[in-house]
Amino acid sequence: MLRQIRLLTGIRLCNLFGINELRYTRDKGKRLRAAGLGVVWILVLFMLACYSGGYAWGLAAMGLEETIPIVLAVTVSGAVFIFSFLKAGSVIFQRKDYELQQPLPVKTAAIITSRFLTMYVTDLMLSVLVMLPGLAVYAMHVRPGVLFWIYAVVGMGFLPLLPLTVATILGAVILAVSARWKHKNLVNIGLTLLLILGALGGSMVLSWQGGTPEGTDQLQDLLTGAAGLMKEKVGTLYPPALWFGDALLLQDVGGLLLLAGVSTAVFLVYTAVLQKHFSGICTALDADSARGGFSMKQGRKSGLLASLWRRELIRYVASPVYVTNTIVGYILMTVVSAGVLFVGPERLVELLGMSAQPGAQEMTERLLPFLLGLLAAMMPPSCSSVSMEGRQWWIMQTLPVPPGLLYGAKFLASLSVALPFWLISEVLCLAAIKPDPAGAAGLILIPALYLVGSAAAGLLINSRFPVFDWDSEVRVVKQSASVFLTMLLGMAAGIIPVLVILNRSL
Amino acid sequence: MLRIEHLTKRYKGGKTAVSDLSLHVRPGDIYGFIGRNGAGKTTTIKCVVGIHEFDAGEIRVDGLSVRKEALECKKRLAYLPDNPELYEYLTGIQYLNFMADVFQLSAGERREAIKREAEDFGIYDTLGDLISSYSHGMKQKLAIIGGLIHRPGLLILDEPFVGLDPEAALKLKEKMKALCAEGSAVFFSTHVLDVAEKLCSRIAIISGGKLVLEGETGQVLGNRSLEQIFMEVAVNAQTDQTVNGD
Repeated sequence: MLRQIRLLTGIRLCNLFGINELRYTRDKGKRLRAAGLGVVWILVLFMLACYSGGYAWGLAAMGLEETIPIVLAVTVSGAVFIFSFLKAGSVIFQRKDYELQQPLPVKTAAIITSRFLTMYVTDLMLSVLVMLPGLAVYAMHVRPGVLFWIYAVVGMGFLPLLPLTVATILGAVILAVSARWKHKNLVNIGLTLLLILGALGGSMVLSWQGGTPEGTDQLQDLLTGAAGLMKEKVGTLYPPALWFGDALLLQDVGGLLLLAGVSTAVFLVYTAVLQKHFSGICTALDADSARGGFSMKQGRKSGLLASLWRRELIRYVASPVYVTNTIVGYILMTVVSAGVLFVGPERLVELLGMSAQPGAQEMTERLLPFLLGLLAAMMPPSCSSVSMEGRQWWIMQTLPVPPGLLYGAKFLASLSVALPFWLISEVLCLAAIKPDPAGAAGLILIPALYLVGSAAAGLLINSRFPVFDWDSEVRVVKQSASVFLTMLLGMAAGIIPVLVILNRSL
Repeated sequence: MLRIEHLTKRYKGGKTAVSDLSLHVRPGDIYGFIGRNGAGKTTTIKCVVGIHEFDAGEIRVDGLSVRKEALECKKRLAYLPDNPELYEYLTGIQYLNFMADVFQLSAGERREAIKREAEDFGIYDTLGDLISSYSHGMKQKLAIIGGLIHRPGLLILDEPFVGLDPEAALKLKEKMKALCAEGSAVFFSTHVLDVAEKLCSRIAIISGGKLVLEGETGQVLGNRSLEQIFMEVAVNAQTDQTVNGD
């Protein structure tokens, strides 16, 4: 079976990030675009590595070196879980590959494992990238022995396994449950959003609990040298991070074995259970219910723009991975607004760690529209909408549809998705802050500008960097240049004004 | 109805897919475009319908340049690719209504056209189902219906008979003839020489991106079969190109 896993994984990995296509394409433009994107990726990864190293340096400067491996382990595990959760189901149960692989004389466990390993490789790269600079900082301060690095290398290999398996289990459960329903896509979207909301709610509750008088603020914990308390918290919330920490800090082989054993065991149990149901779930997902018995009702004529807009919205809700990935920013915007109303702006000031500064609340109110804007601009549906046409792009290329109307419909559909969240957020924030007319105008218009601007920018970027020849929507929604560039632009547009405001107030 | 003049299309990387190709499809023609795999048929068709840009030459639909008046040209034609990828997230009727909206058919016109064509091709009952639940043949029939409901002046099809059941293939031939009787034209590529021989009023053979034979079917055939002519012409042309290093 190992041979089968190696073969199947190899065939998937050979085109990771589109490398194989680039290797053999004769299209110079494609190569040039990919090279440009590669440079941007390297810059971002470099920034990520710098951030990790800088954060570790900060901890070391406060004399908290021993918390570095644990903090890094929690960060990596959280990032792997978040990045994997929304795509895991689609990757494991990918339709196109299923039709190609299922008739081959290979074991189902090999198919599942090869799909899992594809995600594992990217997560491992993320893990190494975050871990290495931080651990290097630790090593510079503590000068541990060779055993530290041996344990670190082994630990880094196992660390992404558990969060990835858990994310994949959740993805599989959601798909398995939705596959039983007629409107499986809507059920899938509903369940995923419920989980996201649950996770957000849970993290907010934990965060607020941390600030209650009984508990202590995390920063204060660190500053007062309460590393032990932090370890205790991590040990309760996510023990594998503590096992990793023990393995590195105490050179405790038991911690390493525990991490490796539990991660591998969970993965093996998951694979064993899933292989029994794999074909059934894939078949159910692939089979759309056909009722027949159609009878023609009175036909209704629509304008071209309305017809295109309707098609965009139907396309949007037909893809759970598209919806769940692009709607997260809008949900966060609404959750923050609800937080401002139900917890109060004062608490927001506290959470941002600015309660001690004079005029902090006023400044937070000035920052709020930009914070909402930043969340709204994270990943507008428009930034994938051209690529989502996929192999059906020929239809739009050959129909007498003016490009302006086609892109206009995509732009409007993107705004239509955002509009309800923006409205709810505005009502919540206005009710919470009760600003003066100028403040209200800012609170309403600034996030609206971000919504409109990000939808337009996303569309523009996607029309410049479209990907039509994809097998899985994950490639478009999570791994495309367009999404990546739009996200970078949105973050820059959100963070720069915040920095300017903060700078002016100092 | 369709005039291609000195069309040349080179792919990135330098390969010339179509070289100096000229042909003329008149109203009422059923025009068969024949060639081996990779001869340049699909590339030519994709240049005509606006999927591919081209390097030299001119293509006119109803006298209009596909480069300069692309939208007006597209209003006059319908195109069906060899493997129609349709919007799987729509139902059959949603897809057809979308096509009717694009071509601005009135409520009455679309109702009548959709009912007639869907019943003729035997998929009326399933129009309320998602396209993703359709078989390959049903998707092909739906794509054909989508192309026919606005009575195009020029119907362009790439290998239309592959994947169709015999009944649907017969129905499509009837529809092509009916459309041409109304003054429209049909231009299609095919490997099925028997169909081309019996159905087409004109045929053209393309080999290595170059047109090697063109004319009225009766005149081209004389008393030989299209299979004999195709083998002779296409193989000779291939040999010439190899000798000349094309």
